[in-house]
Amino acid sequence: MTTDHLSLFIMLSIKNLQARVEEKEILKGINLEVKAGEVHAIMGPNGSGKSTLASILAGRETYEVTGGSITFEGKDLLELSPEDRAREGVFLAFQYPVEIPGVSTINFLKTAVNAIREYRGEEAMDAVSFLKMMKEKTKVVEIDETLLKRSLNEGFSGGEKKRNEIFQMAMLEPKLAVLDETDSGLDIDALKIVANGVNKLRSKNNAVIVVTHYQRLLDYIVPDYVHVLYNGRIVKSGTKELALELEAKGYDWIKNENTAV
Amino acid sequence: MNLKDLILEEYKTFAPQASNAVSKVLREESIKQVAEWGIPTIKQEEWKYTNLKSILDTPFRLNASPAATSNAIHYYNIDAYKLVFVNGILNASLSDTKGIEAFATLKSISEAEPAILSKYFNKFHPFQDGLQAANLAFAQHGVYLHVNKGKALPKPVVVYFLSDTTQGPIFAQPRNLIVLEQGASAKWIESFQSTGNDTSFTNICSEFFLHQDSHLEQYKFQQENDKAYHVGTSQVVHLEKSYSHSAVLTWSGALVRNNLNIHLGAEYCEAHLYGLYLGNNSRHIDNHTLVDHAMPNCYSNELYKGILDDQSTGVFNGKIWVQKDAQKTNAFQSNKNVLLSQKATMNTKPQLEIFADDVKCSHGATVGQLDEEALFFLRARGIPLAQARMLLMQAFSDDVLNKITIPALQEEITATIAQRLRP
Repeated sequence: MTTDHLSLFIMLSIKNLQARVEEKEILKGINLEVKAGEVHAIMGPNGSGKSTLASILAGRETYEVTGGSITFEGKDLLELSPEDRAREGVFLAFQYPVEIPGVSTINFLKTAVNAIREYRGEEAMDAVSFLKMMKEKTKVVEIDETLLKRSLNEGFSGGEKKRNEIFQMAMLEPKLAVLDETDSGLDIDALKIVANGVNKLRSKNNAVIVVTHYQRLLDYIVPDYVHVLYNGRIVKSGTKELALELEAKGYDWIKNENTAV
Repeated sequence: MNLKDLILEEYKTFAPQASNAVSKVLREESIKQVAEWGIPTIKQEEWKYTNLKSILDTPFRLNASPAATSNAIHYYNIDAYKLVFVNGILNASLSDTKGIEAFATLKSISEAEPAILSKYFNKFHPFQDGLQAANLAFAQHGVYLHVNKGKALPKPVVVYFLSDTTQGPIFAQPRNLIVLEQGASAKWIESFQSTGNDTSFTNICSEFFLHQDSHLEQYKFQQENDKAYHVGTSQVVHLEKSYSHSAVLTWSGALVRNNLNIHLGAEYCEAHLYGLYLGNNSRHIDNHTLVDHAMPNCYSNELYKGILDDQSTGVFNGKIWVQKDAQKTNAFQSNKNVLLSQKATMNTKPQLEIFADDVKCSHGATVGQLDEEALFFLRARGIPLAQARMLLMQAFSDDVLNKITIPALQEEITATIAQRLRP
């Protein structure tokens, strides 16, 4: 009974998660709990499984989950289709934002917003309210409205693509946002804008998982917890100071520690 | 009796009462070709992927007198001159072209002056086969539209071709001739529709002759039922600085073969060719196009796109001929296809034959699936798979749908296509 009571506060619970792609084991037993209002950073060297974890949360089918569980607000997330996860409130900001010729951001977002509302039993949003909401949210991430009328991400700069991801997050108002290397390829100004956008969207009701290779993004999106992923496992967890220590000592520190064991 | 014999037999009754507008010599010559060549088979290179065999023994009625009236036609919601054919025969009472006489001559091709026909009729025939010969031999029912010098038709001309098989299978052979005088412009729309549960076979030919500085837009919308067979040839002959814009859209019919032949016969002409085909069930859609660059300094641009589902088959054959004299030619061609099912087939064949040396030509053909990453992305934003697929298919089709320059018509056809793509 006590655990049931406690689980109310836990938004996301990952237990002993194992996954592979084709024959290659990538995740070898991940455990993670995220509560509403928290920001967790997941760091680690290339190939440690960070992006795999992010993709599995969103439901990408190229990975096969071979063991463990993911519970999101009491629901078995692994049982849900990618669209239902999104409609439950999970959002993935893509590491490599997709380009879709002929589909504008506005066009698909209108469909997405209403698909989510329908799932929640809410009425479809009319065009006027949608445009009003859009105008407000463009300000949050400082994105040019004309971009949103163009084919999704086609001909966008790296910064524009990442800002567009955060804009979509703002529009969809997820409970759990997973930012997969949102900092990669951004210069410092773009990074600040993106981080600022994320910070404005933080609240006590939602949570953020920031997946990143570098500490630099965490200067702007300050995490409550930092986890280090190495070779398919979380090998170290701590507070934001851990990120600084990692930055100072480099990933070899983790690698050496773990190969020694 | 098979179709070839039916045609030969029918000709005996037809010949004595045939209009003299088309010369008797031409008719006789053509019917001899039908006897000699027969209906095209897959042994002919141009018919390699499209097999008409299954319907050759259908007891078609030729020159079938049309049903009295028909409310089976869906008229587009646009302001237009309207011409209605039922089973290949013009139905005057259903047509309405009031006011067009201020801009053009419009009459039945059987009433055209022989001098006019000898000048414009059957002037370009890069490929000949038994069906085209049959159409020529029986050239009687069809529209002759001649737009006066410097006149722009204020409204598009929409020609509805209804196949009515409520009284049995029918074989129809309309033949149209459209001439645009110098500086004239016109929009011509052909819509193919059907009613009844029996087999229909339309063997149509429309010829366009563009004088200097004239401007043609022509559209072909195929929306017959699953019992409809269609072989159509549209030919555009260009004179100096003339412009054509063609869009051929096929989303229904059992077997559809669209030939589009463009002859750039003088300098500084421009031709745009667009095609969209959507195959499902066991539909067969074949687009054969030819752009004949005969003279220098012409431009052509071609984009054909197809989505094939279930066991449907698509064929694209795009020929570009750049003849010896056609220096400074710019010719571009692209054919893009999406296969939605394991059992769908696409045969695509770009064919460039270039005999001039100072030219810019490019072509490309792709056959693929819907972008998996894009689908995952849309789903990860909360859009269900079926809807995500539809969004991608619509976006794919939009490149061609956007080329319908009449806004109300574009909207209507886009909505029809969206309905068709809905799971």
